[in-house]
Amino acid sequence: MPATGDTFCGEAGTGPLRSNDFAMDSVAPTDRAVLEALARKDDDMFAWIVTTHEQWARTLALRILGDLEEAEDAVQDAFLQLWQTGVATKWKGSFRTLIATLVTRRSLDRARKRRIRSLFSPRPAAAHDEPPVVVRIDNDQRRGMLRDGIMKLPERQRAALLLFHYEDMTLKDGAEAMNLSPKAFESLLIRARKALKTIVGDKR
Amino acid sequence: MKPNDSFDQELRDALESLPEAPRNEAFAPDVVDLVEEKPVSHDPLRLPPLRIAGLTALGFTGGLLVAGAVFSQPVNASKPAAQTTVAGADLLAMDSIEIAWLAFPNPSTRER
Repeated sequence: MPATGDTFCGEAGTGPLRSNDFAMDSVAPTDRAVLEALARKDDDMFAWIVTTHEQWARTLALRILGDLEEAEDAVQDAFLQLWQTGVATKWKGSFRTLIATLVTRRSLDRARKRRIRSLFSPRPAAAHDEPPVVVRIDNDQRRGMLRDGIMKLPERQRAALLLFHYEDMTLKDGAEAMNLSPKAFESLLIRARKALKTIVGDKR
Repeated sequence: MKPNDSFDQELRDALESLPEAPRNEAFAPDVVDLVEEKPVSHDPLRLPPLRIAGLTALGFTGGLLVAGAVFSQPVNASKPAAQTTVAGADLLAMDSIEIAWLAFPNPSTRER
């Protein structure tokens, strides 16, 4: 699970990208130092950020979109936005939350475009429309069903679950990441959880 | 959110077990190269084709609206010609009968 807090919380360096890359000290730079470096367009720091964060960012996008190629495009867009716009200078939260926010927004943009494209190439009804089959299942099966169920949720509901339950964002941060009000974000979460409980036959 | 610890834990486990993105050693260098090759640019020629088409359509529609607003001014003889925005647009201030009279003057009134 990712840590959150004041300090920079990505994985420790995954190896230098180039010889003149940002020098990784034993102590990782603080979020403030990273944001300030981005504000003054420090390209060595940017290279370090991309190298350090791309793996989990691509995983987050992949889990939202369910498609690796689209996920990588979304993450690339997010990093370019981080560099080209002044978004880092205005950011008050943790740096990881900023990247998760940009990745989530770009992923949902792509999901929206994909939905529009799919209007012109109709597919068979999604499996989650089928009534759930309630059977006695063990924990592994239950986890597998939950996992399948998560991947069958609409992208927005899946993104809300990932931000809240996996990235450990607060309702406020999650809502901001998805451009929603906290109430709407909470409602999205409740709908997602309800759908998943139905899938695993949970009466709680 | 109502607390539901056991379901929360199951959900968290399921989310953690979702597939991870495979390693892609070329990804980070590609993104960094992209930034170095493509500085921020506001060159309109770099706009994507859809955006150019949209802006063109917007400009065309705006032009039509302006043209419509100018040329659909009600022809009103009482309106001072000075209020019209088109130079030499005195004709606009005349009604169609006056214009027809100019073009085909009535012989009975010509001598007056």
